[in-house]
Amino acid sequence: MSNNRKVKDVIVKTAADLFTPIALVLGFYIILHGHLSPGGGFQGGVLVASAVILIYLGYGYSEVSKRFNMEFIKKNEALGAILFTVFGLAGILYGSVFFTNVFVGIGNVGDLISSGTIMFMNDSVGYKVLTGVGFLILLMIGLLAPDNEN
Amino acid sequence: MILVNYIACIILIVLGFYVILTKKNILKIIIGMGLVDYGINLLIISIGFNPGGTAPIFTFSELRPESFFVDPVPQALTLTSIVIGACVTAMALSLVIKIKEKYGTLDADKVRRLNG
Amino acid sequence: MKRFAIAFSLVVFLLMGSYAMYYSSTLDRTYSGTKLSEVLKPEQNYDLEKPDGVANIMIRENLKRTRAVNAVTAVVFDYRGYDTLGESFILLTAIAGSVVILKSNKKGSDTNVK
Repeated sequence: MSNNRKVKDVIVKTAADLFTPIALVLGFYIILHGHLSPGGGFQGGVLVASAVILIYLGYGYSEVSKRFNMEFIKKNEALGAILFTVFGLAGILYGSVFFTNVFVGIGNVGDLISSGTIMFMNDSVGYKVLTGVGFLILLMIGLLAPDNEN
Repeated sequence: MILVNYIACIILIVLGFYVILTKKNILKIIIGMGLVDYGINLLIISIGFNPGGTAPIFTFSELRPESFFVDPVPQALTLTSIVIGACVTAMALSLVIKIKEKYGTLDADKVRRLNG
Repeated sequence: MKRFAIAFSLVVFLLMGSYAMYYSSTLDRTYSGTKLSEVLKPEQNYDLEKPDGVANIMIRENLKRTRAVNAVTAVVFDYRGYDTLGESFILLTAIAGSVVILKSNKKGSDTNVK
């Protein structure tokens, strides 16, 4: 009976080791290329936040609570929301209405840095969803901790 | 304007209402609420479809001069609706955790006392 | 008696909904897709009389005004940016509500959220 348990632990841990870098790199690619290919901020943010679940499945709760700091993640989520509004206020500084696309002519059509405030708003929304969903997952996993922690 | 998508939407919405009205376990009621959300999202996307159109992305190396696009506005509204469905499910599940701690049971007929 | 009322109302809703879906699949399209050769023409040839919907004008002016290759991202963040602002408020409220609900006030509290 305990042999089966050990074999299952090795299989799950190997799969978590294989899939975590794939999820991280693919998620950041989808966030950054939001204005060139299908995807955007929301889709990529959820993909990056699924790395937390993979680490919890493979290694248990003690590893997760050592590597992620919950206060830091909670403050960064509010920072993402404030950044989104600041890039919307850039229209007022240039003498126009609230959500105007002010620096359109930075690059050519099809470059990575192009199309003005669309790219910056995309990145800040992706950062907000990334930290928000990760914090929600850590909160609910923390209730399942084994009782011999304290 | 596909007919099969529209019939599947109304079947999903009616099944979701049936689960909300007749089941007694609270977790099954939350699954029913999710079913109604997904049915409505499918209906919004299926409205803006042109037969023979491609995705509205201007990649110039793959398009030909006689290709036309599908409607991009319903896709933008569906993105917001999916996020709202996920947030409502998250808050409902955290309420279920507190109910189980306080009452000890998950039966919708027994959690009716207002004081206790 | 109660089960009969639930079954009867759901069947009536299903029949009326099926007829509504069948009727709405025979209506006209909301956005008749303009061919790509007409999109890249200059803007004196816009035909603003036909009721083609706002999506027609959005696709024609996309490359000139926003320079974004992805039309769906341009609609979400530039033409309808207020909806995205409201939605990011919803995300913030849902997470704050979950933290408030799941706070336990025992002596050695279970959740490690201050």
